[in-house]
Amino acid sequence: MSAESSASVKPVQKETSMKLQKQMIGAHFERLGRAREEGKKVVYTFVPGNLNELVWAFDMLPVHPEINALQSGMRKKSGDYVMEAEKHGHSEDVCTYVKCDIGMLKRGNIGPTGEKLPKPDLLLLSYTGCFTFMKWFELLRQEYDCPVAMLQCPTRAKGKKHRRW
Amino acid sequence: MSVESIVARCEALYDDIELGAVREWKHATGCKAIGYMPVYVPREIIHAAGMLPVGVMGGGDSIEIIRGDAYYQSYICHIPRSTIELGLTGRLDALDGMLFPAICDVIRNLSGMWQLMFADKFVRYIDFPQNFSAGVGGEFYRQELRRLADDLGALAGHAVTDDALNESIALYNENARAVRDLYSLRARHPHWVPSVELYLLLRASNVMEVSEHTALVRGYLTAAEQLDRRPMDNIRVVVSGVFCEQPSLGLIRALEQSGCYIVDDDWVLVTRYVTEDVESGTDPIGAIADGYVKHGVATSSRYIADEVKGQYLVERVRALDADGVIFASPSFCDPALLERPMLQAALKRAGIPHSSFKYAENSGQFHAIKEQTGTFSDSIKLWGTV
Repeated sequence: MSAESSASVKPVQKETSMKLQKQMIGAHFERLGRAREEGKKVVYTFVPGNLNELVWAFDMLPVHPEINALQSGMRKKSGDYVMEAEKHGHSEDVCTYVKCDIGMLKRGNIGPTGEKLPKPDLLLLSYTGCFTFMKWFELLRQEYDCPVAMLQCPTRAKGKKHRRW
Repeated sequence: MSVESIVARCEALYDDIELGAVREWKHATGCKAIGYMPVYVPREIIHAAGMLPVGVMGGGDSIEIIRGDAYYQSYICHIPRSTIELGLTGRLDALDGMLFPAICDVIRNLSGMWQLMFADKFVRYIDFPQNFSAGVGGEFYRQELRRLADDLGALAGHAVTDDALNESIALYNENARAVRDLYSLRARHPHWVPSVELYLLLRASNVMEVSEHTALVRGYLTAAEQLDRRPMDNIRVVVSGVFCEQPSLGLIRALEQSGCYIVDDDWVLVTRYVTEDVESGTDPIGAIADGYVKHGVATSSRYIADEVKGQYLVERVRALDADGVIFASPSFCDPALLERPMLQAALKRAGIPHSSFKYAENSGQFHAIKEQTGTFSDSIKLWGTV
């Protein structure tokens, strides 16, 4: 790129909320990195289902595997993780969220911001309709010696009681 | 009836993607027909409403997909495409409604698309409990079934009574026993029951009144035992992963031709999803719910909480004295393909050989698959492993 065209590139304008969000996520991964030394219990769970308040209320820390995958993707780390999962038998044509998370785990569970993520004390599966979530936690269950709890939210068409046809 | 005539009838039904048999049944009875997709729906309730349950298991390799592709990204499996193609080309017009069971996100979302595309039809997504305690998941499922029965009754114009449900439960129990006998005969004498014939018999259940289908299976069992079919030098395999998008007849033939007798599989799973008789009695809806939560077959669409993942497959292989497992999974099938590494790990721990490939319902070339499964067979025959 020439100096002239480089000079013409406008700086990225970030909203305050974007900066704040980045800080919050970074701070959360740092807390997870200190979890063991601070004696905190760790719960792996999904974003849908929104069980964070429940986890926080017990003074535990949540880990969201799909956030791990997203953050890894933003940092261009997910390609290697996906290939790592495929080396362990995962098919090339299934959900890369899952494979990114599994690949990260197989490579030492170093989180997207560089902190090693603690193992879960509980796998809290919020099964809110995405079938893949169920398989995902069955896979994680193979990797960790910890209890699993599932909260199933049955799907209702249009979010309400079925219409009488 | 001879084996040839039974198989010819089943193949004609299989080939008839216009649902001619369903149209004839409706014309003869004046009743309605309700379609359902894999892997399981409580067909007893549809039957008790006086309707014909009709299995819709994709278009196989029989139709060209044009409109169906327009609805999906490239990285989605094939069965929803062909189902949409069947619907939009009028081939499913004989159906007065469709049930979409919870098997994966794609089929769930197809139910919503169906409601938009066929607004004048009865469409229902059936979510199954993944909690299998009678008081939690069982109770939820019982309420869902009651609602389904009430709605089907409204569609039929008469209530679904307990007497009708008990009659239907008895007929489907008989049918399941006949299908279990068919599987048992094939496992004992796989050369008597070629898997393509077994598969065609199962597919016939999709468009046939249940008691007629039971008689057909019983007739086949009698006829097959009288044939003098010679055994081949094949290994015995369990095929896993074909519970939703179905393999073509050519693929099933290719597996056996390559040297693998299939002694168990998970295709057309609705015919044997509940592994024991459903008890009829004063609470038939509750009995159907109980059958699902207590005796549902272990498959990818059922959450496994405490048991060892894949143990059911290991036990199945050992019970059937099978030599190995072939994982045949539809491309892009999250349930089958995410399950597969866990099942493979269980087989590895148990020292059971396995091989894997992917297919689509309209796959037409089997040479590479035959080479792979043929090598699998030869390796086991030569060295007892792969």
